[in-house]
Amino acid sequence: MIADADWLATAIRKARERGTAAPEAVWAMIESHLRGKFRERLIPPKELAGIALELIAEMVPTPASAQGPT
Amino acid sequence: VRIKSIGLAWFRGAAEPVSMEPNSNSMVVYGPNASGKSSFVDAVEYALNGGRIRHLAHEYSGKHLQNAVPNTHKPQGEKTEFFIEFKDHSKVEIEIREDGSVASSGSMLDAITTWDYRRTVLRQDELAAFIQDTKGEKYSALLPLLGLHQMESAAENLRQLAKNVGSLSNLEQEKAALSQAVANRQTTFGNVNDDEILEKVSELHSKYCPDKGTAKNALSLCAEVTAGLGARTGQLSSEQKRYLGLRAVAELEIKCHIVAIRTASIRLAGALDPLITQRLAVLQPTEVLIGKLTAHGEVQCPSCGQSIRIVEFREHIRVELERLREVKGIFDDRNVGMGNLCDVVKALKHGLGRADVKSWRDELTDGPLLQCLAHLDNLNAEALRAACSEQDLQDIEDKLLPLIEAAGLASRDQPPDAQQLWDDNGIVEAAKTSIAACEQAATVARAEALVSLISILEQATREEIRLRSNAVIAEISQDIGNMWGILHPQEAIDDVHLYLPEDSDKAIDIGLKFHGKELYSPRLTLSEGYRNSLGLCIFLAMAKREAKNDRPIFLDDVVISLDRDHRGMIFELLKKEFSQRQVIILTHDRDWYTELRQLLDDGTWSFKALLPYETPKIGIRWSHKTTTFGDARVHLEARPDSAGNDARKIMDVELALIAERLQIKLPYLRFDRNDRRMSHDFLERIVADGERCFQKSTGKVFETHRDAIEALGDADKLLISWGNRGSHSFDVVRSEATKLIEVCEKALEYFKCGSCRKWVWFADAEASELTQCGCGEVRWRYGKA
Repeated sequence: MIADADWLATAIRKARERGTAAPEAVWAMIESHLRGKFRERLIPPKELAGIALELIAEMVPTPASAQGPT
Repeated sequence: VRIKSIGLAWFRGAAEPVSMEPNSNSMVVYGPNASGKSSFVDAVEYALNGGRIRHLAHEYSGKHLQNAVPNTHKPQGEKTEFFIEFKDHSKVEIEIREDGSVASSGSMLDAITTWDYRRTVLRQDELAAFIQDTKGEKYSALLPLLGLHQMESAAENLRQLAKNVGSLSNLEQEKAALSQAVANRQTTFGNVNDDEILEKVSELHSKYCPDKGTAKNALSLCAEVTAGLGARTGQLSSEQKRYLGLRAVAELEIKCHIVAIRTASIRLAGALDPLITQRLAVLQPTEVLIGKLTAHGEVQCPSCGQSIRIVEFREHIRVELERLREVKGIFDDRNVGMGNLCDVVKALKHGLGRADVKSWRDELTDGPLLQCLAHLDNLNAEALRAACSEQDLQDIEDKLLPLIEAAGLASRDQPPDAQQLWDDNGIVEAAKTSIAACEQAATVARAEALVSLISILEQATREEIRLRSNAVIAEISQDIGNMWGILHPQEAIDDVHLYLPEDSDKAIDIGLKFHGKELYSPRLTLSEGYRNSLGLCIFLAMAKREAKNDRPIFLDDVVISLDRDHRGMIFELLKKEFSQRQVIILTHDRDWYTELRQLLDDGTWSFKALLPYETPKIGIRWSHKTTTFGDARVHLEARPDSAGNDARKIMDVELALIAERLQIKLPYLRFDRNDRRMSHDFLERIVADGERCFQKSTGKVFETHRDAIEALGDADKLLISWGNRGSHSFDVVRSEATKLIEVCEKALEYFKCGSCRKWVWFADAEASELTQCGCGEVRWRYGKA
């Protein structure tokens, strides 16, 4: 049996090979969750929504035009 | 983790405390039906499954099995309790109170709940359960074995995360808005590029903001143009302002929203009636369905009454869910239409409420348009967002559309300056939208990239799960195939294996070759006996995966549907694959018990028998008949006569079985005297026949097995003198009893081959009328008796 850590490395390598662009911070956040609570239990919807919002904020910064009237 | 003992008190069939003591070794327990064998297994299941015993869970047993677990005749003041003690003296102690609540203690309490029941206990009625499970249930049952729980959790969390990112970033709405912006740009500018649009805005900037420098970016350039246009509009005459105000009103699109709401309402009306009827038909028998879904592989369709496999029922539910989602989509369309209509009506109210168009309103002194204005003023536009009836739509058509049309007529001949301002404003607004759309497109692209990234991670994780499942399943398949091969050597059913069906995720099934033809399910051809045999192989292959934890295996009456030949092969399987594990076998089959005693009696197995059950107050009782020479030696110190007597009893039983196997011919005795023959009766005959029948190979020829015959003769002599004395008087000293046990044990040992360790009756060459050990070194020629 392959060690637990290896499947994660394999999955991340495959995702990167498929050319999915994302800032390093996003990769780091997802990887950290995958190494931690994501594999320990099913995350409750509210907590998952919080994580999703964090990722969106990191990946999709609020555009200048949406910050208020110019 | 091996079990030292299991003790019961007033639990199931037990009354006063009674314990099964395998002492961390393997054990075979014989007991006639209802003697209480399964009570010990029930205790194990109760501890493993946190108070649940599957075969006891029914409508009369109580929520916490309080009506099923205690002995029905438990006296007041007595407790229903049990304990399981392990090799390292750690324990699980559980007391079940009257109301079914539990008081538990012991250092193994938490650890034992992590044991997988389906890899620990196999009962008779569970033999074929795995085979009858659906593909999905098989997958769930095997999932703990695959060691992929963490990956499954991670994949599911990733799936949900992608969904959350999609919904929380308003991806669908953003994409819809973007597509609208692209359409607007096409209408206003045609096929021009961004630079050309920016050039037009720059021209307007020069026109309306001549005194301002170059703005920082395109959007602030547009903002400055809008401000310049506003300033210029402020300088217009009141007539020009009125025209502009009315033109804004005339541009409002209201008809398309009314049509959208009506279309969605018609589609909803068509979908809702049958939907509600069907929902009721499905929902009413839900309670019955829930119970059946968990208990069996099939459910009865509440509509047609036919039995449907759960997997098909799930497909039915999937179709229903799709229909519901479609209806939900129509609801959403209708809500969007109502929102748009609400916005337009609010814009109309705002437009006609402006001071610029007051003079136009004042001109409408009477007539239908005045009533329309009054209707608009009194209309609660925001309420349309939540509810919009056909009457509301009709009123909007009748009262508000004429106002927009009238504003259009009144603004048809616009003064040139106002017209120019209007057109320029249109250009700058469209430019703003186009520029914003570029950012919007980037935002959508990034959100989509995030969703895609998470989805690819999920996909990659699932690929890993599949790869690893295949690897583990191949290992388990190999074990199942090997075990099947041991139980069914040289039979036309082979290549039994597990496989992952190509067409479905999270599914496992069993394949085999039936007389050379590949079949995708054992249920197509296998008889009940063979299915049970396969179920036993699957269970043992799964249990084998626990080897590193050295957990015990319980087999409770699992050979009932196997014929004698196949039953006989189970010991081979246990010896080959589970000699290092603790196996507890419970059986009501006396023949099999006896057979196992002979075949497995190598010091690592103990054998105990239960007495027939009499009353609940007497409860479960062990038979105290001695069954091994080891047991006999226990008495040597304190009661040598008893030890001698035990040796004689063992010889009585063992020699009866041996005589049967060697086909020893004894004089016929009437009635039960046949069963009361003593060891001397058998030994006398065996020694006499042995001269011609019992042979040992010298490497070239077979000769009479002289050593064996002498040892058997010695045992016979001592049994006559000391054995009988031990039985009928106390006149046997320790040295005599020791010698007796030693000689008897040695005599029986001669029936086993010194090389291959198989009994002389291991293989029967019927044609030559002889039996022999595994390697052929010793043989018994019963045809020469």
